[in-house]
Amino acid sequence: MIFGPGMLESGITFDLAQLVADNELIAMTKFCRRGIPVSDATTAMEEIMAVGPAKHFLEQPSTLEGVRELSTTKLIDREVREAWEAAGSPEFYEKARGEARRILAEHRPEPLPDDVAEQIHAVVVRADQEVGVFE
Amino acid sequence: MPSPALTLLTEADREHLHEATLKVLAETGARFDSPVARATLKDAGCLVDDEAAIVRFPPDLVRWALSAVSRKVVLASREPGHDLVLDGSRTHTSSTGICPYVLDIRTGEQREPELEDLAQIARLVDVLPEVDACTFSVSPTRDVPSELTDLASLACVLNNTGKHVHGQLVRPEDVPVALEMLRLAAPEADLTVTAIFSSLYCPMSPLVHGKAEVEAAMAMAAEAVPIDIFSLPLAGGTAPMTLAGTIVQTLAEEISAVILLKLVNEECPLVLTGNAGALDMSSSRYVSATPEACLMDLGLLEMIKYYGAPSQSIGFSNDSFDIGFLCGLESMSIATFTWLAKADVMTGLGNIGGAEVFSLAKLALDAEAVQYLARLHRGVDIDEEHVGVDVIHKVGPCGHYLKEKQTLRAMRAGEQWVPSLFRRRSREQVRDGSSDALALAEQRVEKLLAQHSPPPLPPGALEAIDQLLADVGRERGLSMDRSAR
Repeated sequence: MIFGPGMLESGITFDLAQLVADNELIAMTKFCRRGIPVSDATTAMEEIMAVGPAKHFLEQPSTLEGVRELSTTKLIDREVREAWEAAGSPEFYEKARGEARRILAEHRPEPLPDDVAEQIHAVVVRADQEVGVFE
Repeated sequence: MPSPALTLLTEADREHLHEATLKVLAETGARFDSPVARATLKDAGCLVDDEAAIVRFPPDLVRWALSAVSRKVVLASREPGHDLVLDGSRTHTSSTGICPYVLDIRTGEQREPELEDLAQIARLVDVLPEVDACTFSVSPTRDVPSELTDLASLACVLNNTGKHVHGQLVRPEDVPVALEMLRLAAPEADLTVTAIFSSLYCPMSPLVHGKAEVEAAMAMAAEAVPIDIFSLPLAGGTAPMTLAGTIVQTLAEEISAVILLKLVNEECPLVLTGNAGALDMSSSRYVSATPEACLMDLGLLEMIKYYGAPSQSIGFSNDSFDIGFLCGLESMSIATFTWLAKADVMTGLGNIGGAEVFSLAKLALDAEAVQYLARLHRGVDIDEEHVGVDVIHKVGPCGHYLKEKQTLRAMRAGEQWVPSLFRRRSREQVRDGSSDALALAEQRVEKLLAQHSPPPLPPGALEAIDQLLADVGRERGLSMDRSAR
């Protein structure tokens, strides 16, 4: 368990945008943890020999298959400079803030079943009464 | 002392990658556009197809060349005390190379570089203790004709730093002129023993050695100039999409250069580079700091170590367009990988956007990050003083360590790294901007450049180097707007 996504100031402040940013970093970190599989297939020997010097690999079958294996990003920008500038030169942290706002506006977690929610509420009411919050 | 380290491959993985590399070298081979290079390789027993310019390498020759690579290489400096000893004991740093643009420190404008930009970079490298060598970090295309760029860059960097000069010569006719400049800059030094200059040599992926570039490398190898062989494959474009396939092809490219250069001069010091990028399939852009790039760099560095060769990689690379959150995040991620993989040289300092743009402020920030990495490298001291059971016992539950002599001793001994740009300030100072790392870095750069003078060249050397450059310019029918100063 790695603890700390969303943390600023060593945990004094919580930042939703930082949580979204950290989520992206976690995805990249998990990708690295997969390592590099080494086998006859992954060393692409046949393709290296078929392509040979001074050519390219764009038309090779493993290139197409490999596209699906690549890391993908949502906030980390891999656009060309012109596209980035045309989009208003968005800063990574601002994109994370925007994504945090979007999630809060759009995302609704699966609610608890009604009876479970009622039972939990009853536990809270009882506890409140026991400590004297409510009569 | 336990110090963190990072490994990726098993022994079986390394052997598999090695066997695959031998197979590519023997069956696919590499294209050498230089007839001189092909003749050298043919004489040594390679199979040469002169019509297609393809050279195929017998495995025994590959093994011989790899065994001839010295583990220890010394990259010397004009000013005493700044040699880089590449022997696996520490990671040395070098400013990035070679960016086509520079970020103007005064205006913030991104523009084409001029010679004065390179002079400023060299002076900043000279004064920053965390940076060990100066690369030709920008190409001064604004005021130097392209045919003179390398020689003018060499003259400029030699004049502006006493540290090791890490450059590039891609024209064979430049090599004797460069050697003359080095002799003028360091007349006392035997350049074959104390190399104050080393050069990049870049094979072109996939598996090509350009005529002029390889002939320049051969000319330098003959004079024992240290050469770092630097392939820059793009997985999915100029190399296989698979990470393992890109590692194999990169090794084949670099080792094919090792064989040639070792045949030219067995004593030539060589450094191999573990640095691979990828072609982003949606934007068609070169990306250098993705998780895939981190993994490929790590795999390559392990293979170079497996071959017993000195290694280099790019730390602090990033795919950002400005110095912000993403730039810092990616730079530090890949730098940490490189550092923990214990590369002998980590270049890349000062770069933005995969070495597209050079920034002096980013160089200062990266230098600060090197302090962080150096602290990681020192690891955790485990001895009586550092474990300090007596002090824990004395303080006991609910006490504090502020008044303990051990605290004072450890603080003075640098147990805790104290940053200067990455300030751990109060929330108020964050709000008023006085702890902004980039602003502090810009201020530091301005102050250092105003105060620092690099060690001067020997009397008369600067004038002689300028004259040499002017003569070469005249011979080639070129003129420069300014001298090398």
